[in-house]
Amino acid sequence: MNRTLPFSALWGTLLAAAPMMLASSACDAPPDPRSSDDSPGAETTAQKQPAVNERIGGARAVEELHVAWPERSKIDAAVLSRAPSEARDAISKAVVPVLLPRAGVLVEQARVVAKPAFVAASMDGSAEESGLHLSISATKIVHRHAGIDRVAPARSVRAGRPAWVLQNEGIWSVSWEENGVSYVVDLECARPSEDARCATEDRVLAIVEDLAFVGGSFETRGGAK
Amino acid sequence: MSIRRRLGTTLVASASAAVSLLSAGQALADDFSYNPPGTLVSGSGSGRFDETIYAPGMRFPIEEAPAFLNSQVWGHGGGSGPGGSQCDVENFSYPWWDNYCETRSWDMPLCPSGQGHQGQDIRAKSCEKNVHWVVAAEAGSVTNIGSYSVYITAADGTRYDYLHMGSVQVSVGQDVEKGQHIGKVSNEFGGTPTTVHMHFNLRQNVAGVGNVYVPPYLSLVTSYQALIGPPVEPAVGSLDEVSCDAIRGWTQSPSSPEAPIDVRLYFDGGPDTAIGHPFLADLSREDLCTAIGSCEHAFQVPPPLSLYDGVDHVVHATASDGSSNAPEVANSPMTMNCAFELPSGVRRRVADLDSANAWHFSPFWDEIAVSDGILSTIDEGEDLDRTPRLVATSSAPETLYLVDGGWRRAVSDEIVGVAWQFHPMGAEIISDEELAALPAGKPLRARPIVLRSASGDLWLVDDAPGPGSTGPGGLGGSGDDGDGATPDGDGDDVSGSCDCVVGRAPASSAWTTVFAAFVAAGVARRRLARGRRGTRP
Repeated sequence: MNRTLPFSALWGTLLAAAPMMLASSACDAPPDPRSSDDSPGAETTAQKQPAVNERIGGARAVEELHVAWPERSKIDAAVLSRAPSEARDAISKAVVPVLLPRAGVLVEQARVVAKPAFVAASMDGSAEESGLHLSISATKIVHRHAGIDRVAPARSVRAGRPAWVLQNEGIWSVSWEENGVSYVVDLECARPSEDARCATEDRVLAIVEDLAFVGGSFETRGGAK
Repeated sequence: MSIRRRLGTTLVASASAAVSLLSAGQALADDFSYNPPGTLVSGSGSGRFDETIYAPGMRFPIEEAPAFLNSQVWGHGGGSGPGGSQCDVENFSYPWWDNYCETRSWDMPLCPSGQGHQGQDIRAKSCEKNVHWVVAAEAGSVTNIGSYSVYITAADGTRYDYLHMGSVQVSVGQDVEKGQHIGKVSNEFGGTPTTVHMHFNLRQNVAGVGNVYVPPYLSLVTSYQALIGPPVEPAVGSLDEVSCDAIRGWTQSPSSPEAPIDVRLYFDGGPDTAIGHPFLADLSREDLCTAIGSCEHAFQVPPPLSLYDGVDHVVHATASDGSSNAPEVANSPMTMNCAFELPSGVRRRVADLDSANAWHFSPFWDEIAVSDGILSTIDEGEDLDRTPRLVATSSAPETLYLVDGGWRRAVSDEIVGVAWQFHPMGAEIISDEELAALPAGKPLRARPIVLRSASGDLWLVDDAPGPGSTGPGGLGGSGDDGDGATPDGDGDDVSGSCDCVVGRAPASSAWTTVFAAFVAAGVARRRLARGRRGTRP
């Protein structure tokens, strides 16, 4: 046997090959990214034309995931009932299972957007949650790109599910996979430098752990409508 | 109001900075240049060299040029910069600098160091706040507005983040069009000082990684070139056929007529509302050689099985060359109306969703829901392996076989390989002797047909394991070994009791018809060669 390639990495491997093909098209002398911090500006090569993505013919670059719906009996009716009626209507149309926070008043402010590929809930805090903005989204779409090595997060949430815990300009962000789809929770404080709730990851992780399943369309057929 | 007067009233800026700003305004679009992706300002960290355009076709998110990509922290006026004012001319000059992955203390999975800046800082043409419009880079829905952030999520799930804006014009739940005003470049940061700039993120659920911030730099470069460059002749193409056998047509970019470009297919909605499915249109079609002067621009995919429900589905196709303008091709949209006819064979259990993902079975393209009554009409066969094992030999590396229950099953041609998402680069290379030791089984069917039961179980409709109808052939490396490489057409339809059949259906065996259609189209692929180029040192 001369070469073995795990099949699970098939398309990742195929797509990963593409940048090698591009080396001379976009950047005649591509810099070593790991030494770019030593590259003085005056010596860098200004580029005029970028590459276009080169892909493998026939490969699906955008793919839908299998949604694993929880049983209807798992719906947390108490949490769902606290969401505004417009939000409940949108939840019933969601193509992926919707998760909302059990505790606090955020769920009472939820505005939910349900689209063919995703669902997103946005909540502004009031009362004791004043100054908090919470975003919860989930998508059943996965993008396959060239040059992306498999990377596994070291952290976990919600009963051991691998998770990325990131920050974006003071906004805490947690993403993980559950029910076969991808979830993202973002927590933003109106005054991040002064607000203890955004000083550490503790609050966003507590919210993530507290999320309850509140429903969805239970649609299993793929496809955009 | 002049720029100088605005500066005097809205910003604390030195006189020299104001002069610099006037100079910045003289920057010409023709002078545009940019550093390679991953090249950060010296001392600001390790960038990611990545030539992927993660959001092809997006609109540059500042309404008017010039605009400048560089670091607000390591630039003039930034906390780690060389000093001076944020209005320094150098901040408003080409070349652009990538600052994705710039040094930060938080995790960033795609950065070389594992930590870094999530997006790209963008300055408009001057350092004035609340003057320059930010526009939607892509059509989508406003999914969140924080105190200094606006998220717009596109139909394909990509999230576009716009930070530090003032004068926000949109509200949560609103659908926006590409190029629509959403706010103005400012320095909003929840009371924390920052320079006047717009922080721009792209966020996607990326296979093998998860839902992360992806590099936006080249998406911004290409969209800026579209903004400042001369008008480019839009891509063209045609949707030639939408039937129950195939969706086919071609695309071409007049500015780069030899290079294959994408077709994007949309079902039951247009680009603003439906998920776009991109495919590289790189098949060779003889009629195109003369018609458009270049042969390899065709596409042909089997219609999504999940839409075989006997009702009309509208199919839109756009020609996408990566520019902001991806026009609908000629004859688009067209309508498909297909009923599902259950082919004969056995049903083979797919172990679970992980296994389905390992086989790349798509709920949209490959699966269809059936009643338990229908399911019970098919005999149960052997369980499907949890993962496919694809093999080839070094003497014929592009002739693929699936090893299935000890049998080698031919992947008849590249079209079948595409339907199953099999490719030579994913094959395990074994010796000719090892391959010959595997008895020849029936060839792989033309496309996977996966049935989903009411309880969510998945079943592949397949042939029972056994010898191929034409027997084993030679394995001398010609790739034409005659070991059942043509579907044997035994996938006869179930008649009578099939309560899922509505509307019209293929007149003959569905899968033989599909295969025949592919062959009749005279499609010759060069994809194998294209894919294998990646193996060059």
